[in-house]
Amino acid sequence: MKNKKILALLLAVLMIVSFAACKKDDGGDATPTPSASVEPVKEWPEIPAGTVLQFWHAMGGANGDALTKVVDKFNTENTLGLTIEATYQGSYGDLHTKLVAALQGGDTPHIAQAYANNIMVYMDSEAIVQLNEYIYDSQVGVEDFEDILQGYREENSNYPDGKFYSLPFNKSTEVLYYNETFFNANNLTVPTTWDELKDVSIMASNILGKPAFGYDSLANLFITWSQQAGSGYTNNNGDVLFNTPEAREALQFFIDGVEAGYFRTAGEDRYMSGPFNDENAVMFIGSTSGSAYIGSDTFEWNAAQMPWGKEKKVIQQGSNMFMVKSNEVEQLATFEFMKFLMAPENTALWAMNSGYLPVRASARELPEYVAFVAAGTNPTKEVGTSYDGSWYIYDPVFKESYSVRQAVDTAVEEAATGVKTVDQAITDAAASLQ
Amino acid sequence: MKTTSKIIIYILLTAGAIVMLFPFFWMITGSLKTYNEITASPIVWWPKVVQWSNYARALEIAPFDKYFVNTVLMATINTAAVLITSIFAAFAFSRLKFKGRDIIFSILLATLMIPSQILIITNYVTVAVRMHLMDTMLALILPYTASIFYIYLLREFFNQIPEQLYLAAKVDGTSDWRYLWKIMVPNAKNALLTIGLFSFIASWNSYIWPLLVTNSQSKRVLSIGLRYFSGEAGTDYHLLMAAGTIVIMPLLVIYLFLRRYIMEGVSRAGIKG
Repeated sequence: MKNKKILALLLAVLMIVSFAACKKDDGGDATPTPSASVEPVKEWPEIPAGTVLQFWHAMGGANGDALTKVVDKFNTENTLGLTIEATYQGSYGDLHTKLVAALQGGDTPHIAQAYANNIMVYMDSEAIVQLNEYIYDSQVGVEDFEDILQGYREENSNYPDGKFYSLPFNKSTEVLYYNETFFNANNLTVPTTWDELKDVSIMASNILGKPAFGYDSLANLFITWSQQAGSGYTNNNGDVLFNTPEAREALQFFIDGVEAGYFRTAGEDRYMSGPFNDENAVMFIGSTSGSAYIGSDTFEWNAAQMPWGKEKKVIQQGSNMFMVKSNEVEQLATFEFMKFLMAPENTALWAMNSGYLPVRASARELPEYVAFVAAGTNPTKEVGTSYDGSWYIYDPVFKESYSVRQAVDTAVEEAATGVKTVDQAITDAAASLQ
Repeated sequence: MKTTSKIIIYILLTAGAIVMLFPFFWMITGSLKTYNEITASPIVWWPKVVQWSNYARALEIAPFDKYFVNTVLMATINTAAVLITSIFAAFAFSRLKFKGRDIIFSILLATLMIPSQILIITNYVTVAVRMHLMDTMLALILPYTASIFYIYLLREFFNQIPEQLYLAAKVDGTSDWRYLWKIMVPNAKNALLTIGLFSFIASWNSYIWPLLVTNSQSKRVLSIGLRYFSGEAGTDYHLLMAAGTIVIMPLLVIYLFLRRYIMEGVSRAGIKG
């Protein structure tokens, strides 16, 4: 009898303990921050001085120099005695090949840069660290995590289980570039809506004698404009959501312009910066990260928010950073570096020296960043930081998301060259993905 | 009649030469243009102001001197190793008689059917994971010390040398070793030069393998340096062309000195193969 009582007591204790354990595992969802009081305080290890971490990236040229600057700052300033060894691994494609190879059991880095769809591929190796338990931890976590722009937080937790497996790193967006000299000389106003874009393009094209406006990336044109018109794109099951009247309306708007001769694609020029610099076009929508390739001695250029349709939707581009499993100490150290990269003053420093934008709202208000934007050396920075975090759209995260991009890119290409009607192009693109 | 046909031949040859030389012209003039000039439309054929500074800027972007030394070292050792292994293997497959020779050779030939892209991850696992050679010169060299294609090519050359010579040498009491170096190798000089050059060029141009097995700047090669000029939103073509000119110069010099042998080797290999 007594034994039974003890047993019941033991069972009760066991139940309470396991319930508490369940609570502990419930490490927070994408958006709400769990209150620290519920979670038992986790014991984090000490990071010994002299720890060296490997960081693989795909930042060449000026962006590579900017990254070196930020990494050097970390290496000299961090009080934990950590050293980051940043290694350039070629283009995003090369870096991807190398990561796939390394995850077969080779020398993996502690942290690397990647697109979210590629991170999905790496997750098969079970070597990618789920970051929620770091982000929302009361001791080592990211304070004011909500300060990181909404669109970025959404993309980086758009994995199947809704948890964070990456954090935003090099982020760019699209803006409207325009030839300010031409606009002033001809009394044109910068368009802010689709209708204005059409009117200004017609006027400018009449003066130029050729199409005045182009869109750099045809996939982005489709993704952005169809969502501005109120259509869907895909979800992260890979279901096609773009087979809608709204998407047809958006594409038709562009194709009408191409056929009438006031809109164009980059075509053989690959990027619109070429014809823009040669004054063969006076407006285009392109990535902020391409601003280094724009400019000429013969005219002044400027940038503005892209013209909006029914909704304000703009694509977020660039890639993210993720952590590879190592040991508890090195993972914690890696997280320290991730936090450093996202800290307001560092993401601002990165943005001021590279082709990218700060990942936090508060970084946009830092005095040094405000002064940099005001100096006007790169107009895309002001425009890029004027976009609200909730306007950002992104490619939903699943392994084959790139094939959807390719399909809609082909659809726009086919419609623009007259191979197919808008309706046929979209129907075929949707069918090819089923 | 004779002069007309000569004129036609010269016109065709000139046109061919222009087509072949155009990329070099474009690269070298491109390396002296500004970014706007190289991407301009209509085409700007000659820079307004010659931009020698492109070379200085290109050299700043990556440690090309270090890369150059590594590339020369890698290409030279690879070439020497390929020549040695090819000579031995080709001799064995063409002259020595042993059981299963033709079957082994067929199996080796069959491996040529596997695209190199498929082997690259397997090679990585072998060299970097199993042998722990990550970030070493040996890792750059090891997978390219033997080539089935060159063995096949050289075996064809060796087969052209009459069997009687081998038998006569045997009657005179010459060893296989001595026969190989005194008769076979000197007779296949052109073929060996061709193989050497092909191997050197392939090694000089190799990109993805060196990228996979190296991490530190001090172990990397020229082809990786050339990637620094491209970003996701564009390419600094003017600097890339300057770097390209620097990288290609040594190969051009080698070609100019050895062009006679290359031509002979290539044309003979073509007929026989």
